[in-house]
Amino acid sequence: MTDERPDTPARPFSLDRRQFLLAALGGAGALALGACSSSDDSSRPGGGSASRPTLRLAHGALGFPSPFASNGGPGYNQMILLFDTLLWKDGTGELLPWLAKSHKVSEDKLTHTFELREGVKWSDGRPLTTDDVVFTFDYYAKNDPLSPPVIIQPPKGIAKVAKTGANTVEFTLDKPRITFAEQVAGAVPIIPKHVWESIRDLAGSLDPEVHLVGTGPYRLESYNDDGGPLLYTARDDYFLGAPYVKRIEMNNITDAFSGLLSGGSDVARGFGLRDDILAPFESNPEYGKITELGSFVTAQLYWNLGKGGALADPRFRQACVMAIDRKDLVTRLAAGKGQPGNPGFLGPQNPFRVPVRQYDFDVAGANALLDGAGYRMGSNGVRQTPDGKPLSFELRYDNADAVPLSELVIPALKRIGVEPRPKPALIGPELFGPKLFGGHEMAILPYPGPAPGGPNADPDVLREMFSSRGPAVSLTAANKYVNPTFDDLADKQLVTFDEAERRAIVTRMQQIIADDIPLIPLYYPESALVFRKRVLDQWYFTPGQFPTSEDNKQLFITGQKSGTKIR
Amino acid sequence: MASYLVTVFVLITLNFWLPRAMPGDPIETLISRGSSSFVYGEESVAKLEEYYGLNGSVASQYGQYLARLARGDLGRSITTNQPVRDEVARALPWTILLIGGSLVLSTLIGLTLGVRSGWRRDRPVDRAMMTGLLAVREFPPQLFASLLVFVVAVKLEWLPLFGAETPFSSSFGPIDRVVDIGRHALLPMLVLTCGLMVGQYLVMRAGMVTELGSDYLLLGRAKGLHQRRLKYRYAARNALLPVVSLSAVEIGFAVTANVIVERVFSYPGLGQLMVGSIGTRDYPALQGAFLAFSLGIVTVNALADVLYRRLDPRTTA
Amino acid sequence: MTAPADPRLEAETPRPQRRPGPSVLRSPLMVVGLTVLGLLVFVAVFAPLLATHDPKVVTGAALERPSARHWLGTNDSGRDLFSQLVYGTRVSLLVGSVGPSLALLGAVMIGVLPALIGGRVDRLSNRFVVFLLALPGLPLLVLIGALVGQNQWAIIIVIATGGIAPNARILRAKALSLREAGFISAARGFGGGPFYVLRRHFVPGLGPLILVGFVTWASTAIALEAGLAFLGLGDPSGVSWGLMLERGLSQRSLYFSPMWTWWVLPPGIAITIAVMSFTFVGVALEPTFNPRWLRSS
Repeated sequence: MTDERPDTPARPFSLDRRQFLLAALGGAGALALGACSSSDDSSRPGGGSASRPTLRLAHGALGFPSPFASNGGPGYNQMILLFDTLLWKDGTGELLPWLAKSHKVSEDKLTHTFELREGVKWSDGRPLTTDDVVFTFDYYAKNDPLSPPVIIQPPKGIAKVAKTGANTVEFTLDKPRITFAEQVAGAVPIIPKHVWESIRDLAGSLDPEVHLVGTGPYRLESYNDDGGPLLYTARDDYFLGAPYVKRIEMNNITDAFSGLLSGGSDVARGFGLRDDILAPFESNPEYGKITELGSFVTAQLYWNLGKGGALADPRFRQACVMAIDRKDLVTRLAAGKGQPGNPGFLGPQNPFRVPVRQYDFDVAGANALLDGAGYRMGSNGVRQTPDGKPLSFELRYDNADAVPLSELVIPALKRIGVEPRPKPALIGPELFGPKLFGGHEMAILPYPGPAPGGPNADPDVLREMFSSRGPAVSLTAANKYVNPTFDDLADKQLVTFDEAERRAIVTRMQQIIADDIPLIPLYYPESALVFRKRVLDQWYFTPGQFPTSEDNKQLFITGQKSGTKIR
Repeated sequence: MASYLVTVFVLITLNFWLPRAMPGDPIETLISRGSSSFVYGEESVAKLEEYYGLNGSVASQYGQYLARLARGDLGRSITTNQPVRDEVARALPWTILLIGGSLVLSTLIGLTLGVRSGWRRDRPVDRAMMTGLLAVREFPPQLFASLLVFVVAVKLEWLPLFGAETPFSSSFGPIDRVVDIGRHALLPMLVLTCGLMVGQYLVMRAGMVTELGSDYLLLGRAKGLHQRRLKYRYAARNALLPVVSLSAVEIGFAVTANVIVERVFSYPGLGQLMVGSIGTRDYPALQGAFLAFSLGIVTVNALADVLYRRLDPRTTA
Repeated sequence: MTAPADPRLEAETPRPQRRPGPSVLRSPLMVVGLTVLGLLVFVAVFAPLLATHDPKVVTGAALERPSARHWLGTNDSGRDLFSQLVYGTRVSLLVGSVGPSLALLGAVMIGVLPALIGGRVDRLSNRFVVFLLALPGLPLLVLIGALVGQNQWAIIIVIATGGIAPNARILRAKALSLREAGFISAARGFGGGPFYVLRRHFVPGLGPLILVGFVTWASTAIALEAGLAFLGLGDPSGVSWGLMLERGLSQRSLYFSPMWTWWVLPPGIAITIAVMSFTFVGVALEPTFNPRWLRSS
């Protein structure tokens, strides 16, 4: 602080200087105190003893982690640390016996029998019994539809659940279902009868002491709010043994990679990452990295076939796809790490995927296709249908993440005489509402992967996405696409247990939707997960992308990729 | 005082109406969280509307709203299912800490610098200080905050990266907690203070200059009173009046900058709550945050009014 | 009672105000401010000549570094950043001129006119102004902004409305003090009609305050545009400094790469400079209307 020239001689020590000195000392003191001050400093990297680490994750609470109030895919992961399922998938894709120590299927595939493990206790000390299992499925069925935003909806097609022995439960299905083991037994959390039988308000039951009683490997020590930090500590009396990761801290860190670098997080994930983001970690032996392709689709382009006109004409849609250079999208928006979207929907690492028409980038071809289909080019550069309607459609997209995408897709469509009218909308009802209830024309929407199910999941996802016999209202499924051949095949593959036969059916399904192309995934950016090796080094992406992708609790419990043996 | 009450009532009504005027329906938003297996039928939409009180006429909703408000019930957040009152109660102290702390700091710093500058108007020091302070204020707070986060929190690791407290720090002793909160609040407060400083500085400077020209100072100098006494006891004290009223005016800027700063620093205050609930059309949470902000500003204005009247014996009721 | 007075309302004896004399125009603050503003106007007007590309067209690869072709590199879809900076001047100046104009117009209408009319109209409009002032500025703006959607013009109007109330209050106080002053009735006594009074006393009295208010709100408006853009309002594919800033800051792990220096720093500095120059002009104008200022030197 420079002093001005004094205009009277012999100026005494002015008040100003003293004030500032005091303030500066105070400030320095506070900083010094802060630096010395201790313990659970968020800047200290995760550690704990080498044998039972503490793990830090970079996202906060996604809803309250009960089966009825958690939000979406990541919320499911937080919930399933507290609860268990009958079976559970590990890093090899195998469904391990979990709460059920054995699983038998009848010859006609209609009856599934589970024998429960003995000695499992709820976190309040009461024992797990077959009554709880029966109650769970009855309860879900009774409360259908569940209030939002529960990710696992009541399983359909179960005729009866009954206790058939001291320790066995039997499920009788209406029809055989090839996905039952993975998607029902391996995903639906078992809830305690003695807690939930008297509760009506599912979504409003938010007492951590009461509504989080589960058999799961962890206990929730601290819950503040949606988005707030979560603290899980291991239950040493867990039926598989004391979990390897002793403590899990979840904090809402905006930039996970900054968090990884500065110690606030032990893992960071992203997709289509720039080289400079990965650079500090690639050359550093402290960090490891795993990658996957296809579990994540940034966005899909939807047409509302219900609106008729060009939108219902497959040739129009095919031309649109040919006009968009999906390889270029990968180069620009995913730093070159990824693959163009597949018209057959299944992802690059899906074992059921087969080659189908890819609609390579070909503007001339697209124009020719539209010419041949009778869409004459108007004088203003916009084509018209034979009955004079211009190919001008409102294009909705998310006003944050999809903006660069729109800046590439819109000019691409203009080149073939289609006029997309941009309508950026806030993520939320403005964006999803019209899609949900069929009010939109074209839309670029984020595909909510890696949520349970996705391009790398069991091919039943095709039925969910494209069958017109599915739910009437769905956020991500194709709009008003009706193809009876496809629908029949979709129903058939669900009850086909012979692998070769099922594969043939699924192949045909992919070919159909590639020809009809009711929606197109634009591109799959490569997913990368970078982790601090010292804390946990066996990270994996769960095959089949269901019921979780990374953050599989099997890893946290055992510290390794497969099995139930704790390291 | 009556006019303040009228203001409050109109605010409450506006608060009810405005979120409903926004496009988009909150129920539809909840569906956005699902995957392809996540489905809605008409009955579940109806059930939800009933649960959140969105069915029925607008008039009945308004009546319900007023009744609930009287009871202190701000409803339940649509996205998190928590009582809004709890969410607001949790967020409010942090925002008060940031805004209040920055107002205090900026007033102290701005005043001191303003006195100096006013006393030496148009000298190089004055010019440099004004330019410097202005530059610091007008530099976009989102950029400033973003840079600070990276340099101080990530690269240097001097201060924490996010939040208001170290997570799971309930085991800290009281001194530790205070220090911890201080460390988390330091950067956000720094950004806010930089923005607010120049206001007080300019007013004090102008006030000093005005006072310097006034008659009684002339008389004081003629009588031979010491310069410092004139400076602080007389000139500065009178110049303080506009400072008090400026604080009330500056609160608008403070709230603006605060919302931006809370976003960048992931600081769990009212601004975060409000912006978050706009995107999801979470009406109850949005109303709660909006109401808290409005009432807060009205309160500050009322307090400033009272303070002003006490400081200035010339004003009559 | 009214809300606390804005410090710009000096409790001074009202007298016919002088116009700003030439000495004000020579003050360094004014010179610097006007020069910079002039430069910005030049850039805005001649943007098509100064920019290297069309800012709304993809002209290169994504995230290119600065090169001879793209002086500030490209953004995440491949649009030229330098051209965005140049064309962004237009939006900022538009916001900084249309916004305050509308704001001051509104302020005159609900602040000055009712004060002149007096009586119940005045009391009512004062209540209204007090109420407007009590509204939480930014939160309300964000709310309204979300209502009007992603439209640049709508944002400009929204920003303008924020400036009505504070200026209305200042102008009203001044108008009231002018009305109470003796010379009005004196002029009337001499047979001067309402327009004479208006021209000779009110305009010189209010004019300077309107000017200062305009300039002050202009600087606030430009800063506010950047703030609103950061919170997601404004046409996301549009071209403005605030949007450039927002898009750059939203890049994942921005500071891991040097691209912040050519993507977010230039618009940040541009905003700072533009706002500062308006403020300089405003601060330079202040002393003219405050006679005690001159005596203090």
